[in-house]
Amino acid sequence: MKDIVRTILQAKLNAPLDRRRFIQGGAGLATLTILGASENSARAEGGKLGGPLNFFGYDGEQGPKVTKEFLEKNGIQMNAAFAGAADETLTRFRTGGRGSMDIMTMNKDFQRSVIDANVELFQPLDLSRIPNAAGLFSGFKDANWLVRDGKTYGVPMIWGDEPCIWNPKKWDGVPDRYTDFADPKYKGELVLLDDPFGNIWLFAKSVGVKDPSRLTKQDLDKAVEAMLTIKPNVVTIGASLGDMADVLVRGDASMGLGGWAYQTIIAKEKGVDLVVGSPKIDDRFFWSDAYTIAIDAPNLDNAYGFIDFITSPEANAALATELGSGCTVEKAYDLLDPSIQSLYDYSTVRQPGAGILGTQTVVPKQEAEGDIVGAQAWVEAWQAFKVA
Amino acid sequence: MTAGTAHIGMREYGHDAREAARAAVMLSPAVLFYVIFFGVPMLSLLVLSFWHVEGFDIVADFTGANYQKIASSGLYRDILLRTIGLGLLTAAITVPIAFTLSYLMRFVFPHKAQFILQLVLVSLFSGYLVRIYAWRTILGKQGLLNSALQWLGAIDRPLEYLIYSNFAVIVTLTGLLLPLAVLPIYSSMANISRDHIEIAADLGSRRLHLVRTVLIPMALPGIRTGFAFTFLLAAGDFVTPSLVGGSQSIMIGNVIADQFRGTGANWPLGAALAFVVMAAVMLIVIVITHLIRRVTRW
Amino acid sequence: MIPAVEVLDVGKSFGPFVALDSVNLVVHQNEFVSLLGASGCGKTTLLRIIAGFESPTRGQVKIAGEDVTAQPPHTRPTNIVFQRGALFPHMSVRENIGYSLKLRKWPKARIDEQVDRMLALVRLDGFGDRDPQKLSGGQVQRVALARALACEPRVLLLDEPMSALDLKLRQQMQLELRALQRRLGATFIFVTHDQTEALVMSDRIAVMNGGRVAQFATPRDIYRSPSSVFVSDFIGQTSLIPCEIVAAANGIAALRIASGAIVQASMARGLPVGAKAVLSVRPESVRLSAMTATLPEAALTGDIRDVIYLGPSTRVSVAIHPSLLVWAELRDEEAVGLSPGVKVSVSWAPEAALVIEEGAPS
Repeated sequence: MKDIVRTILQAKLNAPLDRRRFIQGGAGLATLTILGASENSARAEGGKLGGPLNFFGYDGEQGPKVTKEFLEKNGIQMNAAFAGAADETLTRFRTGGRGSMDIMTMNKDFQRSVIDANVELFQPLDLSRIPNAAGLFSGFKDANWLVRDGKTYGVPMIWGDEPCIWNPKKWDGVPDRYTDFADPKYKGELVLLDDPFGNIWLFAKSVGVKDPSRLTKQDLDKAVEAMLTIKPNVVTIGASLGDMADVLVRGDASMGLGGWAYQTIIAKEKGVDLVVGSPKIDDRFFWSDAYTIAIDAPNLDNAYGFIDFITSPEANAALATELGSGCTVEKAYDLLDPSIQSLYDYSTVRQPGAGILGTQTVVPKQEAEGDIVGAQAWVEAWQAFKVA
Repeated sequence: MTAGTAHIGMREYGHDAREAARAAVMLSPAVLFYVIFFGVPMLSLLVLSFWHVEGFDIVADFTGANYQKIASSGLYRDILLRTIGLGLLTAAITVPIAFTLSYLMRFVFPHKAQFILQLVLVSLFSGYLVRIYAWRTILGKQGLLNSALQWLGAIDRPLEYLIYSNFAVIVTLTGLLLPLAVLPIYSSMANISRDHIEIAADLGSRRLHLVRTVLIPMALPGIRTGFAFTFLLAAGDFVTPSLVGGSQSIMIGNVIADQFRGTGANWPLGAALAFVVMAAVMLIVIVITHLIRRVTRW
Repeated sequence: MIPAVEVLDVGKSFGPFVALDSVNLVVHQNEFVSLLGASGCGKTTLLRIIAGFESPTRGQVKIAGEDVTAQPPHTRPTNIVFQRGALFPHMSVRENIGYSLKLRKWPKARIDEQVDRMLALVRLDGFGDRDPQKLSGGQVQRVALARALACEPRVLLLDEPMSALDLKLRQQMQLELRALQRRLGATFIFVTHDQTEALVMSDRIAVMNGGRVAQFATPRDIYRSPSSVFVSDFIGQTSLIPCEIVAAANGIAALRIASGAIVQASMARGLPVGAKAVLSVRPESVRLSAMTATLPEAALTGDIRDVIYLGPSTRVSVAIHPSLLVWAELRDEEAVGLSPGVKVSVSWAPEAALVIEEGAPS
């Protein structure tokens, strides 16, 4: 606790003294206690590896099993805290985390919007300190959410899609369009994920909107209308991907929309077989997560050492296997078990700009732009959908 | 005890200025605790509710826009009413059960009271989420209840409304909150001596009349607390509805939580919503406890 | 006249523990009866059975001729007053007293009238709007009494209602209670462990021991003619001397005691010569006189052991035999010159002492 207080004070001393920062800092005190900050704020001495390393990102992406030996050998103490969503990194950064955060992970859409908005969060990477980054698939080397104006801002570690996931004993496959799920035969069988953006995106696509991440008010309404047609068939909305998997494993539902291939691995552990696939016409959306280093990171050496290690073919393959996702390093692909390899179509990542990963945006802009509604409107639409 | 004195420990303070000062010093740790851990966060949240959001930034100015939005939104009103309704219904079911259980422990099985109390409290030892998931196992389509009923031949197909429904939410919440309702009610009842009940019975009162004219009024402080706990926690719980409530399971707590995480976050709006909910809920607790006292007025 | 309360061969066991063993009692209308005994003798259990809070394992209870054994308390025409009052703290004094009346749906005016009458009866006029938690011990008991009497029950049961009050207040309440009972013309059954209390207030006393009624008689009869060693020992002070019957005529018996001396006492029951018995003589009936050379040989002599000054009297114990002590109660002037060690003669009028059969049912 003492360290947190010190962190706040240091952050205040280093920040320009204006009223907004001061008040935000005050609110941040409460926030940090809520987020359960456990970071060590001591600044690293020297340029060797060793000492603390702070991680804030998705649970699992700090690869505790994969990096155990590496951390022990180099005397690094990993202090990991987890985010439920990508923008928590920005929230924490702004409310006192700056100066005590090292590695952050986030999804590509958020990363792109941060770069586009020129918001201070992560710093450009010195690739000479990450030799293993040369082994990434070509698609990632010039991806538009990672590279801007010749500078690289992130090193991707996994990628995947959000397909439908279902019980093969009940269903042979999925219909061609998401809107087809309104068919009464699916009554009492559907489970969704509590994700405003993913779901609205899929149904906006299904009703024919060209770029589903940019919706006008009418587009949004149409998408929600389409979702309402399947609502009578929806058993429940999973609070998380794990929760969704639990519902499918128990048999309370047999068809999930917007899931994750990793859920099949969770299910298999519980003795239940699930398969993934996507509607032929509507298809699905893709995601990719990357490591970034926060501006003013206190343990830069450890951060670079860590990222380089985990981007080695062996570590990358191990991580991809553990998280049931696609790997980002070419040589890692050969190290993967065929069952993991087959989860995803790797032709995408061999294309320049990482193909559809680069062109597809799922998350809407924060602020409304003319006709196009902002993220807030999507959140409200999703809430309205839930209450209907 | 004369007016204007404080009773701390075994002594009475306030007889003179020096004693009053001493009393103030002794109370200060408690007051300080509340100010730091309750007052300050509440105040900063209140200030936050008057700011607004632009893109990823929170802009610190003074605007009532958030409150206006809440007042004019049909969506929030509906969800709030739903939430309060659920909270009241849960309290209306849990409190009588807790009251009956307390009565049984106090007057019917006093020797076993400790044991029963421990049974009731044991459920508090397991984690909150674990207990909610346990209900999925019990109420699910292939869960204990459905399997038992099918095995007994009472039904052919599993009952679907048991889980992912309002029914499931209320059953789960009642199970979660019952120990918290039993504790204050039972301890309040421990102060009612058997003599009172016997006398009332002897004078001609029985069953419902006795409960209404003697038991409830004498256990009223405990009942009030039990109701407040149950209602507040049920209305504020958004995890239970999201896990067992089904597709219609959104509560005002979810709406507030949505404002604090994820893209599209709007902290000031969330803070404003929190205060509106607080005000609504406090109002209801005050009204209901007044009503309870009214109904049991002799 | 139909008796107010009849207890017919009532027994009560709690598991293996026998609280009451064949109790028979008949209480008349307008009688003030006390159930007197030490803790555990069963007196409270008996009262609760009459009230209806316990049901007897065996036997019957009748009130005003009606068999109420199976009836719960709220239907019986009895009301009970507890030791600690147990007033309802959330109601005013007036509301407490009127509780049973409001229950019976009396019209408000009539309730008010009756409550006022009750308040006057217990001498608490004007206390109607008081908070029960602010009353003194004596006031609490009086309100409890008023509450129990409000609906005019046939029988009022009182379970040691004054044990929690101090002596002066208790004595005052005893007289008030007695006067109240007479004024109302009601039947009271009163449980106590204090024999003075029982003697002061009762028309008849039922002395209880070990779940049975040892003797049920007027205070005078209990004191003067105890039916057993237990009763004679329990009530008042007495000296008990084992003896053997030597001769008997006209209700007076000659008895030989351990020292060999022959003394006399009245005998209620005709016991045979040679029977073993116990002689009971109350201290106030014993006369002592210092032995002087001039007095003739007295039948009974002994050395004074203790002289205890009590204020209104002095109590002296005399050892008439190594294992026999006789107590005498003397006025100041009678105790002059008596101190431990002095040899005295002990005597009493035969009618003042009693022979009780040894092992008589207690």
